[in-house]
This record gives sequence, structure tokens and C-alpha cells, in this order.
Amino acid sequence: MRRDRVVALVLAAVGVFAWTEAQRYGALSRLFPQVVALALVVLSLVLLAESFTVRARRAAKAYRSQRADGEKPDVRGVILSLLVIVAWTLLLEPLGFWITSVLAFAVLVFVLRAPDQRAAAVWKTVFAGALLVTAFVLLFRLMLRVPLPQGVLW
Amino acid sequence: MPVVLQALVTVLHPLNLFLISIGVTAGIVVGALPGLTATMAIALLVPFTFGMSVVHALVLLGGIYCGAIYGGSYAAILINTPGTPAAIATTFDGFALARKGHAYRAIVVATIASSVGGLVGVFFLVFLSPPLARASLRFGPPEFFWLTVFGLTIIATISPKSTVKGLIGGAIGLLIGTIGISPIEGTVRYAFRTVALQNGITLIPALIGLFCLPEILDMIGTRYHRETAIPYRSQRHMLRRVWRLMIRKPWLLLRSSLIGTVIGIVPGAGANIAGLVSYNEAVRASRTPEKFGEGSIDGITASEASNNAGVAGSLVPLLTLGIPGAPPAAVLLGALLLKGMRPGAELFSVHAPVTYTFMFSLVIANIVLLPLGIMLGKAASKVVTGLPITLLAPLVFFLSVIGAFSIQNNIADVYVMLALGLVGYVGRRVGFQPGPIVLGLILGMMCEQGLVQSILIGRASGTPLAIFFTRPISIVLIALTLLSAAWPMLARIRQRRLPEAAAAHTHPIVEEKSDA
Repeated sequence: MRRDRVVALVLAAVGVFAWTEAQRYGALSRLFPQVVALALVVLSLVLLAESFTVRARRAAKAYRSQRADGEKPDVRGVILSLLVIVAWTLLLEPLGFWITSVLAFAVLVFVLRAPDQRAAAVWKTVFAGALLVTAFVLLFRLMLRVPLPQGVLW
Repeated sequence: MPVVLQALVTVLHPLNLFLISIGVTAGIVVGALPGLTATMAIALLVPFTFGMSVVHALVLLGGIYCGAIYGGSYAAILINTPGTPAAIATTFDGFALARKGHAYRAIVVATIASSVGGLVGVFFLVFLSPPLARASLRFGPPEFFWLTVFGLTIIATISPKSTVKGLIGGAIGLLIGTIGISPIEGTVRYAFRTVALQNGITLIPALIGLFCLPEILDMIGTRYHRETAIPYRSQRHMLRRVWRLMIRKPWLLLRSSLIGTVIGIVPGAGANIAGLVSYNEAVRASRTPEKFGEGSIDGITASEASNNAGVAGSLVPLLTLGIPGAPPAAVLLGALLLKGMRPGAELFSVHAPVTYTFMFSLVIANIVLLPLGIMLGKAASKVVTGLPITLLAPLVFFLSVIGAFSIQNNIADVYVMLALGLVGYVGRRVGFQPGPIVLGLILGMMCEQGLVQSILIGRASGTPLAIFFTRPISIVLIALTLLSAAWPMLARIRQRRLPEAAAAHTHPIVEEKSDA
């Protein structure tokens, strides 16, 4: 499978990098990482070799036909959600835990809504999300004494 | 009145029964939230016990410990994310069963297995503590090294589709585990001048990222094809049905509980490893290993019986020697010391009534876990299966973020969770499962410490490598490792022979029939 070949080459490169980086450490600190890096390189080469076998070609063919017949994932939705999730994580500290979570939760609900979903239903979900986020933030901050980032607004 | 009888009367006092039930319930709730571990649950509630008597404090904390380890199974079954690291192996079959519409059945299996496993563990705690604790002290660096190597052979079991990819996943996990300060020389490795990486990768955020984020993104990608994340099917008399299924395999329950107890006793190994080892053994012993990973009840039984048995197991070295078998037991040690109780012989002589009350409270905790777990489990499965994906996906991510953050109150853990989540998602797309990566991460540190310390000890005695192969427990572990590594091959041979044997048996009958 072409996919496995690319993965094998990338992982072998990671292994080689880990090995060379470990050269800088003391004898006892590099022993274990180098053994693991070597194992990673060897296993990646095995995966690469496996990808050229007849069995792998058959598996790739079966995988392609299964994908063609199966349910198509919503790639656009996944990418948009990922962007929201990354922004959510990065803004937690500067903007504050509660406000970021409420906003990002709302944006994510809008990203995930079905095209035929009524606006009232979407807002209901946003409201439920805001309530749940607030309840958990209060639980963690007041009862469990977790110092969640407050951000610039407080 | 004899001490044991006195302890039994004390533990059955209504207030103690109430505290145990509160502890189990609180533990289940905390354990069910991804990121909040049993250790954290006990640590958070220790301050509430300051004003209590020593008996009340201990029965409450014991209940929390049992409840939290069991509660981890809820998240594992309902959202494919282990609520606590002990429930990693529960995700393999629990979520698969939930996706088929049997979330409640999976929870009932986990509850019965946890209860039985917990009771077996307490039996050993009560009757065999001193000799078992002495045996656990024979575990030195070489034994720990071989124990981790044995643990790594589980990869072959949990990655049936591609062993090579499983092994690569394990190697990646081991490599991620080397990030940060090295255990012997104190060198900072693979941190690339990033302060956040100098302390290494914390297990829980990594666990949440690798299991949870890929699941959320998958849920999002396929949301138009299903209304809720997992379907829900209600069945009458579930407890009776599941119990009938489980009682047919008493050996599975007993073996898993024994594995959990023994591994729980070994200081540092804990319930995380116990669940995985027990799962591995269940697959190896099964006549239908192909059903594991597809929603097998036996898989959930093995994991849950073992991790709850590990609770009592981890208390064996704690109470007898003052060495905690697992991180939650270490927090319990703190609570014991705060109450002026020093582990060791004193606990079984001067403080014997309190100690035995605590032990019996674990029996009660594992019994009340059954009705409480089933009630809470039914409610949890109904709620989670009823939520639309538009609400569930953001909610699960929010819980992941808050869980990852609260481990060390550090935003860097949230970044680690996100980064490893992305690695997990890409990995899943190209055929890598999170199980082997997490296994490598859990075992990496212990494996390296065992390896390097053994070499140092060996060097000092002039035989650097002989130390690995000459100690009795090491030899047993090496034999188990070889057997476990060769098992997939042996199983294939056995499967090939089975049809031949069946054919050999059927031939004469066919001939007889044709003669007739």
C-alpha cells in the first residue's frame, strides 16, 4: 500500500533522527532511546517491505473498494472542527478558560449542525452547552480548587 | 471480643455503611470523568477527612479508591476514552459493544467483574498480606525490566490486524516516554529547549489525547450517518442475563482477579498494567480469540476484574511494609500517616481493630459497588447515548481539556493532549491503534530504569549481563515473555490443527453413513 510506504519512510526518518539526537547524551541516558530508535527503524523497514507483498496489494484493493462502498466522512466538517479545537486550546490562557470554552463550544455547535436543522434547535444546544461548561467550571474552581486560567477579562 | 469480630461490627455501623456508599459514589463520578484519576479523587478528598475519626476517614477513602478505579470503565465504554489509566483494556471491547447498542450490557459486565475482582483482591489482602508483601520485595531492577518486556508482548494481542504496526506503535510510545529528564544521569532528552517538555510527557493528558480526540473527530466525520454517537438498546433482566453468561466462565473471573492482585502487589506496576496483562491472558486462553476487540464480554471481564483486584493488591505492601503498590495507595499512605498510623507490624497489633475495619470496609465497598454501579451506569449510558453528536462532541472535548489541565494545573498538558490527539487521529487513519502507543508510554520509564539500574548493579558485581538471566523470578518472567511472544504463532498452528482434527473425527462417520 502506498500509504504504508510513506508512513514507513517517515517513521524510519523519525527513528534515525532520534538515534542521532541521542548521540549527544551520556552513555546511560542514550542507551535506551537508541535501542528503541533502532527498533523503530528496523520495524519501519519491515513495514516498507511488507507493503510490496502480494497480500498488501490485495488488502489495498479491498480497502479501496470498501471505502468506495462505505459511508463518506465529512472531511470539511472535520477540518473546520479541528481548527476550532486548536483555537480553543490556544486561547484558553490568554482569553480565560470559561469564556473561551463557552465561545468555542458555541462555534463548534454551529459547525456541526445539520444543514436542515432549525435555528431554534441549534440555539438550544448552544444554551445547554454554555450551562454545562459553566457548571463544570464552577465545580472545578470552587469544589475541586483547580486554578483554571482566568484570562484578560478578570 | 476478638479483633476481627469487633472490626466486623464497626464496619456494619450505619454511619460507616453510609460513608462507604458516599465514597464509592464519589469515586465512580470522579473516575468516570476522563483525566480525573483515582489518585486525584483520593487526594482531593483527603482534606475533607481531617475532622473525621481515623475509621471514618479510612472507610471513606477506601470506598473512593474502589469506586474511582471502577468508574474509569464508564468513559472507556461510552466514549472510548479510559476514565482512569486502569481502564485502558476496557476500551478494546467495551466501546465496540457500546457501538452495537449494548452500552448498558457492557457496564453491567464491568460492574459484576469489578465487584468480584475487588472481593478476590480483598480476600488476599486479609489472609495473605505478610507473605505476599515479602515476595513483592524480591522484585529488583532486573525483575522490573523483564516484567515490562513481558508487558510489551501484549502488543501482539492488542493489534491483531497488523503486528508490525502494533510494534511500531509500542516503539513510538517508548520513545515518547524518553522525553524529559533521564532517570539515571538526569540529562534532558528530546526537549528541544522547550521548558514544558523537560518534565516529560504526563501519562493522563497523553492518554486523553490519543484515545479521545480521534474518537471525537471520527464522531464528527460520520455525524450525518448516525443520530447519536452510540445507539441504545434496552433489555429486561440485564443483570440476570449477564450474570448467567459470566458464571459460565468462573476461571476467567478468578484468573483475572488473581493477575490483578499479584500485579497490584508489585510496587510501581499497579492496576494500569494489571488490566492489560489480564486482557492478554484472556485472549490467549480463549477458544475464540478472534472475538476480542469486537465487543467480547470476556475482554471487559478480564480487564475490570483485574484492575479492581489490583486495588486491594496495591494495599498489601502499603499496610505491611509502608510501600504503596500504586499512586492512589501512596496518597492513602499520606492519609494514614496524618492519622498517626505507621504501616507495618504496628497496624496489625496496636491498630488491628482499625486496620481490619478498613479491610472489611473494602469488602462492603465492593458489594455496594454492584447496585450503585448498575444504577449509575444505567443513567450514564442513557444520557450519553441520548445526546446528539452536536452536543456530545464539544462536551467530550471540553471535558478532555479540563481533565488534562487539572492533572498538574498546567496549560502545557492541554497542548500535549492536543498534539498527541492529532498524532492519534493521523495514526488511526493509517492503521495505528492508540493501545500499543499508550502501553509503550506506560512501560517505558519502568523498562529503562530496570535496564540501566540492572546494568549498573551488574557492572559493580563484574557481570553486567548475567544479572538479567540468573535470578529465579527473572527466569520465570523470561519464560512467560517467550511464551507470550510465541503465542500468536502457536495459536495459528493450533487453529490449523483444529479443522484437521475435526475432519479426522468426521471421516469415519461419513464413511459409516455412506456404507449404510
